[in-house]
Amino acid sequence: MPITVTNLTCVYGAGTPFETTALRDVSVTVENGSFVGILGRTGCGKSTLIQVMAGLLTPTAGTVILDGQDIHARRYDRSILRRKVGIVFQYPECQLFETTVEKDVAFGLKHSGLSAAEKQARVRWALETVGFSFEKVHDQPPMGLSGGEKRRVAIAGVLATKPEYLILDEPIAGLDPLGREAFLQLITELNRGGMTILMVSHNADCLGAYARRLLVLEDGQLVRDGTPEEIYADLDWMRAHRLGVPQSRTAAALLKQGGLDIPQDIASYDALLAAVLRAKGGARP
Amino acid sequence: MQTMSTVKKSIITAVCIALCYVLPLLFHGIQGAGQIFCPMHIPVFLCGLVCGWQFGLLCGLAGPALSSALCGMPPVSILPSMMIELAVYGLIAGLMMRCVRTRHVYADLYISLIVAIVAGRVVNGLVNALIFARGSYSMATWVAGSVVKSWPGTVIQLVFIPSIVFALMKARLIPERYPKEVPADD
Amino acid sequence: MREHLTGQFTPGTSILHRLDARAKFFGFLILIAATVCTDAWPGYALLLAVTAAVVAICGLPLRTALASVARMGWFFLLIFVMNALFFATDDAIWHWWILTLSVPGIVQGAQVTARLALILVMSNVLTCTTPPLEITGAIQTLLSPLRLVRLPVEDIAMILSVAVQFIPTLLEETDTIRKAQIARGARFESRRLHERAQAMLPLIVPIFLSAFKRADELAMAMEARGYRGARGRTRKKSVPLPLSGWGALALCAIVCAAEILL
Repeated sequence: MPITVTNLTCVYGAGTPFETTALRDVSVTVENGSFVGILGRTGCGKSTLIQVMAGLLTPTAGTVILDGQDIHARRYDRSILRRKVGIVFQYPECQLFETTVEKDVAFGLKHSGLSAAEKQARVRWALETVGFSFEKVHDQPPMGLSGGEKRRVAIAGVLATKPEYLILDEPIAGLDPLGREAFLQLITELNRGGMTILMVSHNADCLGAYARRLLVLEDGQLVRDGTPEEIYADLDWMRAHRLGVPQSRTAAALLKQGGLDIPQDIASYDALLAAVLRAKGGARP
Repeated sequence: MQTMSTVKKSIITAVCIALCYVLPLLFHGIQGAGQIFCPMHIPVFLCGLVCGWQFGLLCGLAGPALSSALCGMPPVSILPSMMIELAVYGLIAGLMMRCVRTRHVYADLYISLIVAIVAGRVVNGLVNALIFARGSYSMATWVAGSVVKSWPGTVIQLVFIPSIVFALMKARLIPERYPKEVPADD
Repeated sequence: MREHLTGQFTPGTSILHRLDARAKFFGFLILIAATVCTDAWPGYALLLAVTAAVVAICGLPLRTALASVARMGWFFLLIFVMNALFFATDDAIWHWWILTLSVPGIVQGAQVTARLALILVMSNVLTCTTPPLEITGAIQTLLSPLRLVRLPVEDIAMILSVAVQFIPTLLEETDTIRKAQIARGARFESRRLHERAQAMLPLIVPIFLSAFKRADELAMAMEARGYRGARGRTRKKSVPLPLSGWGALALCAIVCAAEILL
């Protein structure tokens, strides 16, 4: 079942001099198994949107329906939501607190009703998914690990509950290019395994290469909804809305200016390479 | 924990003072937690234990004062007695950490904490009885206030503070107290 | 935490906003002294009038100005009941075990509650109209005589202003950590005390870790730039208190004198 957001409005500090509207009448449906990117500049409401969808903020108006149930309804059992929706915040390594990696990853399974053996199997699966050897790390204190390792442990802690929906808020901030690539590969793998991915970023490059659908937010409103190719094709629109233009798309525009006849719906390096090769008559270098 | 520079101790103290304001706000969102759990005590103890008595004393005085000046909690009427109580916590925790060296981090921490908690509560009772509440303050109210009402806070302090110190040492944010002599400590 | 916090500075252009922070702070302390000295009903009437005047000229919406009192309604009730029921007196209306209800007890309860409410409103107005850094500046001025007893006032002032500047960052990080742990299934609503206490650990440990990490980064940056302590640095030239500040202080002193006489 999809997540359906209807007429979502979110106002902070209503009635005070600090009143700001973070979301205005946003409606969107996220299909199961999709990989959706949310693009927008700082302060456009992306973080608010995903926090409302994860049930961490209560909207001023509008509904979020998950599996046919309104998650903000008074009667709704939030533990279902916590099991189904995982959220990885920016710098997730800040949330580690336990004395060992195994205990920390298992934290989310506390109320799951699983047996000790099942819990351990989950922890093993989560740690191995993020690229650890369970035997090597499970009894180490998480605080003693390196920055990148800590982040992977924190993500394992979110994956341990096997969420159906994984929400990521600027997950690649502070990672080096190699770490970024590895991380996005991991997310793509999870998506292939059936997990619905919702990724927030202001980095149009990485969203274009991995997301299959893009939502563009501006001043709390949903201004575009389509594939990255459709949206990036309209270069003037991207610039007018002051969104960062991906390098691959810029390159495609420059090549066309230079006389090469290539399509302009380019959202990733792979697509750019294929287009250039086609324009050159399919000749492999 | 004696190898940190004065600048670092000063900044840690500043952060602990800021937490005296921030933590109660966080607990405020969780029903009734602030009153029982005394969240403002934790940064003061930690500051005394980690940075020494001068800094603990400053944190105990400045933490509640700043919080009161910025958001009116604690209210000015109970601020002086609270400042004295917290100052004693920070001061005694720092002094004890300097004097007690059992070669086991946890033993040092627990001994220092317990002595500081007892000293703070006793001083608080005395100060209230003698100065702030002129006569209307009896032994019974002191026992009720400081022991019965806040025992969950005391338990939390005893459980949490050593865990926090452990985490900080593992994250190499504060130096190990016994770097090599006690390898069995992990 | 983008929600408006009680007592948070609210920019504005009222007389109180423009008044020198030191005058505001000392005036506030004088008014507190006045409140503490008050014992009679005319004194309370005067204080109420002064507080009302302060609220009227502070340029804040009434809701913001009185928010601190409204938020603590239950606390006032508790203070009132404690004072009313534990007042030691002979002419009790009602007596049971250690509880005594009497007219003087009720009067005392009302007075203590009124005092608290007035102080709260005034401190709320002070913090709503003064940027936090100006408040620490005023505290530094207040502490400066202690230089004579060799207290490192400059270092203390530095620590205080760093503390104030850390608050917004820490609030934001605390909020994120709280949300992250809730999303991972942390539960704070348990009825059992020890479960609720246990639920605090996932919040407390990460908060201290990230706070100490910030401290570590800042301390390193300061040392790298050769910071060795606040003493001996060129101090910001202190501006003499403007006339309006002296005027405000004089008004507060008159109120305080009146309270002592009444």
